[in-house]
This record gives sequence, structure tokens and C-alpha cells, in this order.
Amino acid sequence: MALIDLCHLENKINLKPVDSLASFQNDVIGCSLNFINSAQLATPPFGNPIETLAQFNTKDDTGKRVKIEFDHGTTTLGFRYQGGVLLAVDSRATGGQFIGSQTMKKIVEINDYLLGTLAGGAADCVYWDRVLAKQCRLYELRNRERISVAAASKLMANMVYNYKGMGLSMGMMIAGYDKRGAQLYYVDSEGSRTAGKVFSVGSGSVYAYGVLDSGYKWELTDEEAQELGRRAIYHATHRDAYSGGIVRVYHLNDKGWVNISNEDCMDLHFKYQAEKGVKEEEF
Amino acid sequence: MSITTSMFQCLIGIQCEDFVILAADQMSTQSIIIMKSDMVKLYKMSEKLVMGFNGSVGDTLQLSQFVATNMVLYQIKNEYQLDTAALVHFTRKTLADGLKSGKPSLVNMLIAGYDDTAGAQLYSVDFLAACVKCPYAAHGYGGLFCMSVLDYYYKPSLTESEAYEILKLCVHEIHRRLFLNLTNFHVEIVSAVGVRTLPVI
Repeated sequence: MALIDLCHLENKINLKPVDSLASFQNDVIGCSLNFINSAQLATPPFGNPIETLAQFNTKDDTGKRVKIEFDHGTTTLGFRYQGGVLLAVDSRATGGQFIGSQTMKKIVEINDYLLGTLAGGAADCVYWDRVLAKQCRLYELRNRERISVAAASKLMANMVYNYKGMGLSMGMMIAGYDKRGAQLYYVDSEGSRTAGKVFSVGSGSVYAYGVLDSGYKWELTDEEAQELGRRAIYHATHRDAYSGGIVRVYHLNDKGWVNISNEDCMDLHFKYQAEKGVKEEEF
Repeated sequence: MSITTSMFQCLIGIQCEDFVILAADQMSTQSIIIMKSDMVKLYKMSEKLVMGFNGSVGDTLQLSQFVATNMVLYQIKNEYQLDTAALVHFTRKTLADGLKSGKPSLVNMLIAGYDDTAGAQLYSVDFLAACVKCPYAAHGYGGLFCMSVLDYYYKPSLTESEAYEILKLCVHEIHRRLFLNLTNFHVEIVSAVGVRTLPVI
């Protein structure tokens, strides 16, 4: 062991998984620990995952960039206003240039008063949102009251912070209604967690912000807010190749969440163009 | 997350005879987007102690809470509080250990405290766990512009309002010469009477 220490071999290879690979049984247990404890994902079978994984994102010998491509393209937005919280998202799932799905549900219904939006790695988001849903339900059963949005978002932030630098990629908004009223938090895989009024996440967020910021005010009516969210996502789907599909709008207030509409962005495009008076052949 | 993000933020501190004044920008950014322009980066750690944090978002959040909770723990255990120098030492040690363990926190800090014995103190700690006690200090690209302003205008006998005016000069210089959009600066002052928040610049 002294020689191993001297050579700093533990930086190059992880010595422990060698034991677990010795038997198939141990290997299965080692890689499925998250079935027992959802926050115990199997880490990669080499030492120093943070540094080693970073190598995949740098250049190879020929100077070409080697990159594990995670799904990134999305547009999601959320804002707080006088009538509660409004969330709007697109539904396109992409892997690089490839469109994997046009009907993804990027808003996860954690419970009747809590919604989460997905952006970034689809698998990461879906997995950690499910873990969060479980934790929130457990909290409810233990404490006989619903979890606050602040607590739920902090659970999430702390869970993903443990995996910081290992390739998790997610930017999510957690919206909900609790004792303190309507709440909106932004949480991401860098470990940040901020409360705020207006957020937009994903590759199309720059476009969505443009529409959102120019039309947003606290005093919006419910209808105006829904239309603003829908409009912002529609414009993002129009400009951003990685966003598209169905524009889903959710509204949250003291009575819980309601799914307001799920409209195809192409139908919206025709509708908005017609409202502008653009003739059909010029669409 | 590289160290460049922390350079895009700004933190300024001035220590005078009987007070220390800290200013921090209020930007919260995500790649090229401003998520928020009213974020608070100065945390009150105890009655007469304020810490300013710059750096990657997750790390600043986790480190500030770690330090704050440990400070409370120390008081519960020992029935007296950590003084400024001790808190600085603790923070620096936490950073240095993190650096060696291979999970570094990319955080630059200014720590302002007032002790009844040692008076007003200002410490600057950076992400490599280098720590200096100084009369005035600044972090980030904005800090570069401030240094000359502070070199010129600083003297230990400044009053609180004079120090606030010098901070204003610094912020105006940042607004004029730095290509970044650091709109709001949150200002806190630590003195014998405790911590007070001054108007946002």
C-alpha cells in the first residue's frame, strides 16, 4: 500500500471498484444502490470523477473537441405575479442535432401545490425530480403538512451539489404555493438556488426573456399572464432550433396548480400571424 | 465553472479607525444572462461581523452557510463567540482543506468585523486560501479600478459618510470604465454599534 501511496495511483484508478468487479453480485449491488437510497448514484468506476470526466470535454490528440453531448436545448419560463405563479414550457427533447421527442412533459407535477420544470439533461432532471417528489411526500407523511417551497428547493440544491462537476446538467425552476404565498425558485446543477420573480431557463431563454421582460408587470390579470407566458415560449420556439413542439402553460395559486393549455407551436404561429394580418401564403 | 465568473463580480471593503464598510455588486448571472439584479452577497455572520462572497454560485452558497452554522455551533459549545481573527482563520482553513482534498471552492471573500479589543478589521481571503489583513481591498475586475481610487482617497481617519462617498466614487468608476453591467451595489457598515445597511449605490 505504501508504494501505491507513493505513486499516487489512487488518482489514476479507483481501487475499490476492483473488489466489486470481482463478483458479478457485488457489481450489481454497487451499481444499483440508488434503488435503496435514491441519492446514492453509482459514481464512475475510476478515481477523481470530477477531473477525469472533465477530460472528456477537452480536445483530443488531433485538436478536435471530444464531447459527451448531453441534451441541452429547451425553453422554460416562470414568473410570479399578483395572481400566483405562471409556468410555461416547450416540449422538444433534443440530443445534439437530433430531435428525440416533440411531446415531452417538461413540467413535473411534484404534488398538488408544487411544480418543477426541466431543462438540461433530460435523464438527470427526470430522475432528480422523482427523487424530490419522493422526499416531499415523505416530509408530508412525517410532518402532517406540506413541505414549503423553500425547503423543497433546498433539498434539491443540496442533493445535486454533491454531484457538482461530475457531469450533471440541469437548470430547474421550482414553483409552489405555501404558507408564505406563491414562491418561485431557480435551482441548477452548479448548486445555485435563488428565489425570484421572473426566470427563464434553457437555450431559448434569451428569446423568452425578450418578450417576458417587455410585457411583465406585477398587476397582470390571469389571462394576460397566461398569454404572456405562452407568447414568450412561442417566440423562443420560433427562433431557437432546440425548442419547439407543444407550448404548455401551467398556473399555480392558493387552490393548487391547473394546466391551462397545451398548444402546438405551429398552430400558435398561424394564429399569431393571422392576428398580424399576414396572408397565409406569406407565413 | 471557472474562476472568470468570480472576476465578473465585485467586492470592495474599506477599514477605518472605528468601522469597516463593505460593498458588493448584486448581480446573479447564468452564462450571459442576468437572472437577478438584487441578490445579496454580503452575509451578516454575527452582531459585528459581515462576510462578502464572490465566486461560483453553488460554492458561495454552501460555504457561507457552512461558516455561519459553525459559528453558531461554536457559540453553543463555548458560550462565547468567535472573534473576527478566529473566524477568518476558520474560513481560511476550511478553504485550504477543500483545496487539498480535490474539491475546491471557487470563492473570494472579504471579512469585516469589529471586536471590542482589536477594533475594526478587514480581511481579504481568496480562493487559493491566501489571507491578508488590510486597510482596504477589492475583488474582481471592478476591484482593479477601485484600487487606485482607494490608494488616492483612503486615510485611516475617514468618517462613515466620507467612506461611503469614496465607495460611490469607486462604483461610478466601475460604471464608467468596466464593460460589465454591475448596476446595484449593496453596502453594509460594521462598527461598535453593530451592522447597518446603507442605501444601495
